[in-house]
Amino acid sequence: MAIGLASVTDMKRLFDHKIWTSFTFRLSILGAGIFVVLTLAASSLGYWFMVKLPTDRIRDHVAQQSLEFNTLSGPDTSRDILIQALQDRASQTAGRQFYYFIINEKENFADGNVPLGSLSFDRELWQRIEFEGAQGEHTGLFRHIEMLDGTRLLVGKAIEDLDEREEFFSEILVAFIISSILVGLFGGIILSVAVGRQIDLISQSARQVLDGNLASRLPVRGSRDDLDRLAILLNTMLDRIQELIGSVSRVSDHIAHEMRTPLARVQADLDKLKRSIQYGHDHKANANLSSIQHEIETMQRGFNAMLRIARLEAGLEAAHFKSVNIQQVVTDAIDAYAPSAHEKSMSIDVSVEGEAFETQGDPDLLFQAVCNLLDNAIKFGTPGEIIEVLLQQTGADCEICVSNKGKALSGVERARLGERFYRPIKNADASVSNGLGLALVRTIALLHNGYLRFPENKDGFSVIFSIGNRTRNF
Amino acid sequence: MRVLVIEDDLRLADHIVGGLRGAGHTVDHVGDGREGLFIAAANDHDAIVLDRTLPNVDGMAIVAAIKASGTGPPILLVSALGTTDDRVEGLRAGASDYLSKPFALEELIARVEVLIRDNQKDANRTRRSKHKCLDLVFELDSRKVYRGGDFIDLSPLEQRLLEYMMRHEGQLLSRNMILEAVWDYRFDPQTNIVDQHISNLRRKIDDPFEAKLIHTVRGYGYRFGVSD
Repeated sequence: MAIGLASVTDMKRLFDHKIWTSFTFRLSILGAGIFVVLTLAASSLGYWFMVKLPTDRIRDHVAQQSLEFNTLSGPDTSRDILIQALQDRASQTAGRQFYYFIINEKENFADGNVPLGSLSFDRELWQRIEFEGAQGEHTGLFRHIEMLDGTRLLVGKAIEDLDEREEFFSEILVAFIISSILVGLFGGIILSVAVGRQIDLISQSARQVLDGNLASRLPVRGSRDDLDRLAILLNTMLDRIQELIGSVSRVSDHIAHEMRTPLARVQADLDKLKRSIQYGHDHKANANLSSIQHEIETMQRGFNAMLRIARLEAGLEAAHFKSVNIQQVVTDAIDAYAPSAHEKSMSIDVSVEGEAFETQGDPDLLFQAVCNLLDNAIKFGTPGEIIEVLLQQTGADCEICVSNKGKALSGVERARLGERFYRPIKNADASVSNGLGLALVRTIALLHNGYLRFPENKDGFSVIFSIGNRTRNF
Repeated sequence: MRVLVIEDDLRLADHIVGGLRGAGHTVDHVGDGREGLFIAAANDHDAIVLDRTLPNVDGMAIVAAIKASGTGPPILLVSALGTTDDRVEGLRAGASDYLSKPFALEELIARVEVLIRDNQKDANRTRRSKHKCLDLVFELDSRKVYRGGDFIDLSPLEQRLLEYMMRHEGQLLSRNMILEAVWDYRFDPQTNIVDQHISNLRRKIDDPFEAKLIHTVRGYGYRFGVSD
């Protein structure tokens, strides 16, 4: 009993197997089906040409001949002439063998070249008659002619070869259909299992990622086929997702950290404000309020900058590319910041090398980038010194280099510039710099297929902001 | 001036309405977009303050509907969405100005007042040839500035700044408004370059003269005109 049940479950499991629902299997069955249809078509065509058509032609021919013999069988002609004609035709060796026989009114065999023995014949117009001859079995297609005196004449032609052909076609057809079905079935199973295994691997890896292992990647077999390409593409997608998630979690960590200090300051200011009001120190109260306002503005600016960077990186905020003249952007930025520089007795010197600074870019973003660089140079540069701006075309890229005199940064510090919230130790005061200025410039550079570099500068600080005309690489 | 405020958040609405009334304006307030549409159509306001995120109806659709008649009052669109794209979308829908939350109340009031005046100027269609305040003259065609008869050399940026301020004589102009009006780029300066440029402008057109025309409104921005 138990064995019986086990096999039923097995059978059920067999039928539930995912092979039957696999795309590859169904495709194979479809292919087999198409093959069967084609075979049927070919066989039908072959049958038509090699069996039906010849048979019809023979039939026509026999009909024509029977007409001729019919005229010879009239009351005006003698039987002997008819028989002579029949015998003449029968002795012709060219073409298909001609058969005839005459049955008299007593239903007896009277004449003919067919060894029929005692067979009774219908009066059907067309008959297929098989007989044994000297060279084996023969089949003839006969036409029945009723003569006036009651005798019957049957004339016909050999068609046993056509019968053989017909048999051949039906056998071949059956063989083709059976083999197509088998090939389709087994081929489908094999293909489905093979492809299914690859898909299973991919599904497995995807499930690992879903379970939380974001670092998991799909196996790449190196066969460079479409499955491999799919795996590579999915891996690239996973890289991007991991990067974005990491970025988001870093940002939220930083937001929490960076906002705590200003919030603490606001709290302190509010306490001071309370006391100022308590003691009626209106003047101090106003100063407290201004301080609070300033802190809140700083935080707001920080939030906006963070959001901006995050949105630009994630592609949520689109850069609006149009034709832009870089030289004009730099000039406008310098005009905007000249008074601020002058305030610290600094001047901005600009030199241009090369021509044709027209490129595709987002003018607002580019302007913002150059402004941030100039702002940094003014904020952290030595008062009274010159800020140098160099605009040059190097190959397909357009480089803007801003340098200022001041305290030089170490290689370690320079390597970390452009990181969000990073401030070299000497500039750790958050109210002066929120550490996002260069991060935004870097994002803008990347959006423009460019880069941000900080070459060594013993006298101070240099930054190269480059925008390229390269197509985006993935 | 008569202002219509369409804002569903009661606290914010109170804040805005109170501020506008405090500035001397007559204010109508509705909390619903469709109602706002009816009131706007039936009345003749000088300006409308509209919150983009209204319940049950899309603020942008309201803007489009008000502007569909062609002669609606200027609309200041207020929104929590603050990207450049959102601003462009709002302006394209027909709003005359866009302010993102959180905003300073004074900024909102200043922008409403500027909108009203700009709209009146457009309605008058008089083409000015110059701006004049006391002995300061700005020839619009030649872009030349004189004070007390003396020519004052201003950079193009300073000219634009002065023109904007003279066009809105007497009105409170926030730093953001100046930034948007004077520069073609949409950007966020990390330091207050507006203050620096105003300072430069002052040095040229105010310092050598007795009557000061550029006034700092502490915490809010600047005002141009005869001191009161």
